[in-house]
Amino acid sequence: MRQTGVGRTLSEDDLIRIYRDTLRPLYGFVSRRVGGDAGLAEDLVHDTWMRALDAWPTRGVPDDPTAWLMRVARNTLISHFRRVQPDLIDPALFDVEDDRFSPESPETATVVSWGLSRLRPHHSAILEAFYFEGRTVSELAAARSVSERSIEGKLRRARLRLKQTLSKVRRRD
Amino acid sequence: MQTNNTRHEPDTAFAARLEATLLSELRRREREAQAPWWSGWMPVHSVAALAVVVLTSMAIGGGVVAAAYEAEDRQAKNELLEMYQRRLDVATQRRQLAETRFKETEIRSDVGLVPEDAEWEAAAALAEASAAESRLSVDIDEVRATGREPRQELSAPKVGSRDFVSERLAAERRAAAAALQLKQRLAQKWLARAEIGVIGPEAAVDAQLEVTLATAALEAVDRRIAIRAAFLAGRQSGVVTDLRGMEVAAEQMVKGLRPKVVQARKDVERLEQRAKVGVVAAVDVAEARVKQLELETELSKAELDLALVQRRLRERIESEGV
Repeated sequence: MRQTGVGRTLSEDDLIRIYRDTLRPLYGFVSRRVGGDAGLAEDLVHDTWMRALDAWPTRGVPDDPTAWLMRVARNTLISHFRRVQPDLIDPALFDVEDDRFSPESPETATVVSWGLSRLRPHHSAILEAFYFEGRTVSELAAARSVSERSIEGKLRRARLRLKQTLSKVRRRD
Repeated sequence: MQTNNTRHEPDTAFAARLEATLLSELRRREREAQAPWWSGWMPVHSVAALAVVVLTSMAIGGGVVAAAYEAEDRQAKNELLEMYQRRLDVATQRRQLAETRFKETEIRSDVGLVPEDAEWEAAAALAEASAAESRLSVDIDEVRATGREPRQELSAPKVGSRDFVSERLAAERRAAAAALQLKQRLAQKWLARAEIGVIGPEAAVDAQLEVTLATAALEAVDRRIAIRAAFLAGRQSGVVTDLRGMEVAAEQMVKGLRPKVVQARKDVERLEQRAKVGVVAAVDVAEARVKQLELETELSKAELDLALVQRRLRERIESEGV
């Protein structure tokens, strides 16, 4: 057992308990953003946990480990997608301005995540919540204490930015 | 059919593997944290510390420093060995208890003093305890040889001339073969009992199912032995080796669940027939249905795990151009 920086200890029992409590939400969080690509999701979850082992014994176990892990996983995802270059995409499959578009397959999720990693945080955050967490316009409006009309406007602008970013990897026949 | 929800569920093999990795990593870091005082410093300090160590060792003789390192390593190794020895002691006691429990249960079962399935439960507990003890005895040898946690993956390298992975597999095989022998003996006894009408025909089917499961477990160990051999012969990479190992584990899970699901469906049908004539209460039928549903759900999950592992294996083989 080791004393942590903020007075909490990270014993093996703590580690196992937190791991078992957080694995499913953490894996789901990552997996949705990579379209269910199990190999990639497992690698990223593994990396995230290794960062926790780097940080927790010295800085202490955070009060909300799930939130901490998800925040680190998100940064890990962004770093990953900034390093990779997706295959050229068929514009017909990536009409992100279409309300019915949903990045559910590994291919579409990879391209959308790649694009989100290149957007400004306020654009990527709303699109992430919409695409990967399945939040509706009304839920987003309630969470941000703004009108649905305002959210629709933000979504429209964010989608436009995403579309412009994705044009860099658009196949030109 | 894979749903959106199950697609984003972690694979059980992955969850177990990562948990083991994290525990092992935590222990390694703890051992490092107890290492010499200069090892925790930042790189710049480490350089200075190294210089101090070099000068000191020059001054007071390299032998002292070497001895300090050796003592540190020896201490960590001894602590690890002690921990494994304690685990082995517990496993041995558990196996001895399981043996006693099995003998007692067998005697009591012969005279009808315990429920029919108690004998099989005792046999399963004995098989599990024997396998755990066998594995741990090889683990201790590995810790003694390396001073580190044993490496369980099929792609782990040999340690000098010893191949602990194969030794562990051989121990698992002996335990699985013993479990099969035990279950075959029990099954013969049960079939004989069923023939003279002491127990119902469904109990004889259960006995056959137990033998099938024990056979599948032995076959799985044999396949893992073959995978290890292929890795050592250089016929496949480490990643492919581990994925093949995971495939065997997932297949074994599916093979184990399929006959259970078939049996559960038959149980439900049988109980429904009996309930119609009022021999069985409706609640018993409902319980059997719940059990059937639980097993079907488990089987679906296991089939999904297997499909995912197989997909990863195919992709890996393609990417390696094998």
